[in-house]
Amino acid sequence: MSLSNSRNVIALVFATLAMLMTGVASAADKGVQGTFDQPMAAVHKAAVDALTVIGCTIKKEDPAYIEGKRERKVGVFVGSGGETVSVTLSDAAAGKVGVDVRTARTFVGGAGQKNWDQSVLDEMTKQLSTPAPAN
Amino acid sequence: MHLPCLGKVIGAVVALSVFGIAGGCATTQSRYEFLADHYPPHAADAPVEVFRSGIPQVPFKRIARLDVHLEKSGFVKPTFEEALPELEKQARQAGADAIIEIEERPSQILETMVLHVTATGARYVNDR
Repeated sequence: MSLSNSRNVIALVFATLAMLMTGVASAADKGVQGTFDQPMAAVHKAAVDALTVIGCTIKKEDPAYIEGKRERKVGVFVGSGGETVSVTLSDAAAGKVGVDVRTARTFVGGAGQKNWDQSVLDEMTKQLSTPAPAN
Repeated sequence: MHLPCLGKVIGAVVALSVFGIAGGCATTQSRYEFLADHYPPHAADAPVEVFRSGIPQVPFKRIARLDVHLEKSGFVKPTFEEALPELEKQARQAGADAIIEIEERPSQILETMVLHVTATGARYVNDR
């Protein structure tokens, strides 16, 4: 293999690795929205629990806003983590609580990141529909 | 540059990858959350009973939700046994005597294998 060919191969390898590391810049997250017929406190707790289940560490916790971040992990190919997932709560009609779940992915390591919006909403729905066990 | 040199470069990349697997691409997160009343923690070496199924046969009260989240890259699956020490630690910090209603939720994100364990910390009504 000639010097130029070797350089081309190495450049190709690094270009591929760079693509895997960075991924493709994703479109702006429109989030997923839902409404729960539950008290605000219960929905807030469900949001915190749901973020915990997907591996987030809670970074901000206000009465109407919860934000968590998934820890980055080095991997053999792409690794994972680094997403910031937020849940915004708002008063909806008829005493219900509206939620807006959004995932912010980073450019670096984007290939190993995923959109958690639906997973968080599903987990909140599951928790809020499960009756607490009797003591 | 000749082929043997390219081989060294590829070898170095593979070695770095293997080093990556062996060293620190696993994460653990955990927490407990009281369900209602707060209780003082137990000592770090206090016994905690673990019920993979069933519940204690003595009167108890559910006092805390316990969460342990493990992630490992390189297609290495985390196991419940790896989560157990952290689960017991969280139970002690919550003042629980037993861990019940354990739910394991394995999942995968590309090469990252995930295990989330949710459980309930139970406190015996009468002193042990």
